[in-house]
This record gives sequence, C-alpha cells and structure tokens, in this order.
Amino acid sequence: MDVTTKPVETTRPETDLAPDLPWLVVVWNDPVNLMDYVVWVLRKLFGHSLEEATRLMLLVHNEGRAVVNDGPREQAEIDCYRLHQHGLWATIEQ
Amino acid sequence: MSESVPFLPDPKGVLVTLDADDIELLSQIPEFLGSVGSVPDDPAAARLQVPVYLDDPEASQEWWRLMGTELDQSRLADRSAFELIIEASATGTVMSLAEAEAFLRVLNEARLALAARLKVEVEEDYERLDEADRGALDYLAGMQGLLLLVLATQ
Repeated sequence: MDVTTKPVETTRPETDLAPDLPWLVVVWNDPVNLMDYVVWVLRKLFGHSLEEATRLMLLVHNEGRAVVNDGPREQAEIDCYRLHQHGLWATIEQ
Repeated sequence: MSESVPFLPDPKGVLVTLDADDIELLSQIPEFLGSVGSVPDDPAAARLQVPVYLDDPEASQEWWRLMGTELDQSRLADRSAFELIIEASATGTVMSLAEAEAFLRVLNEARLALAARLKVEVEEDYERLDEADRGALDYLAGMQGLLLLVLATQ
C-alpha cells in the first residue's frame, strides 16, 4: 500500500521566555504510587543508581515534589511522557 | 491474594502462575480501565490526564494534543499484553521483561484509577475507605510489590 503523508505543521505556544534556562521535569507526591514503584521507574527511565532514585523518591514523599531531570524543552516533554506512561504525576517548568 | 507465589524469576523473564481467585480479580482490570472517562467528570480520567504545565493551560493542552493519543495507545497495548498473560497464567507462563513491565504498569494504572474514584487524595483518605475498597487497593499494591521484587532481581 502506498501511503503518502504531508508534513503537518504544528505551532507551540510562545512560552519560552527564557530559552537559555533548562526545563525541569518535576515529579509530585501522590498517595497511591508505591515508594518501591517510584524508585523502580526513576531507575528505569533515567538510569539512576538505587541510592539516587531512593533519594529522589524520598524528596517527593517528604517535600511533595522533586526535580528528577532537566534539559531542553523537547527532552523534558519526552521525559514527562514516559513518566505519565508509568503513572507518575509529572510536570514541566522552567 | 493467593497463598502461592504468583511471580518467580525466570531466565527469560518472569514466570507468572495465578490461581483462580487472582485470575478472577485481575481479569476485571482491563474492562474497569476501559470504563475510565465513560462518565462525566470522572476523577479517574482526570488523574490519568493531569496538566503538564501547571502555570500554562494552553501549553498543557498542546502537550496532550501531541502526546495524548500515543499515551492512550501505549496504555491499550499494556492492557492487551496484560489480558494475554492473565489468560495463560493458570498453568504458568513466562513473561518477557517488557511484558512484565507492562503488567506492572497496568496494576499501577488500576490502582490510580480506583483510588481516584474513591477520592483518595491524601494518605489519610485510606482510613475512611470501607474494608472492600481498601482491600482492593491493598491487593493490587501487594501484587505490584511482589512483581517489583522479582524485577529487582533481573
């Protein structure tokens, strides 16, 4: 089957007010996700050591949120997708 | 939860063997998750589609427009894998690591959706749940914990 598709132009809201600043991927505390599960997800997605993933999980649990990665906006959006795929409550901020 | 061991390490992934009670309970999950969003103002749907940019609703909406379909497809693929594993689990079947991870995500998604419908928003909310509801959440958490233990050895 020959399927020809044309590129689709998408527009993004002009919110990159400080383009040089990294975008932060934040995971928020919730009362449902298990601590061990959060550690497993952070290790799997970001390659953290057990110690680092546990530190971040405890930060989420105790402080309500933790920055788990940062970088260009596109990477932060992909990271956010993967965290949502695993059921974690993740947001992006600059 | 059954008295038998549902998950065991296997050279090719994870051996899963479920008894009739586990199969009956877990086989309800795909239909339950399929119902998410079928009623107005479903808190389960809201939990599974939270804003990504807290201070920018327009950017959040755009993110969900670009990523939402793919995320839905990913979740459906996980549920399909989950169903096939449940069907084969009475006599024991080996999940690949990818299938085991999908299985784990479905258990987690079910807990998130159920807890949202039960209006569990802070840890103290567990205390007001009736025994059956709390038991369902604890059962799923127990299965997740057992599978995580095996995945930690892989």
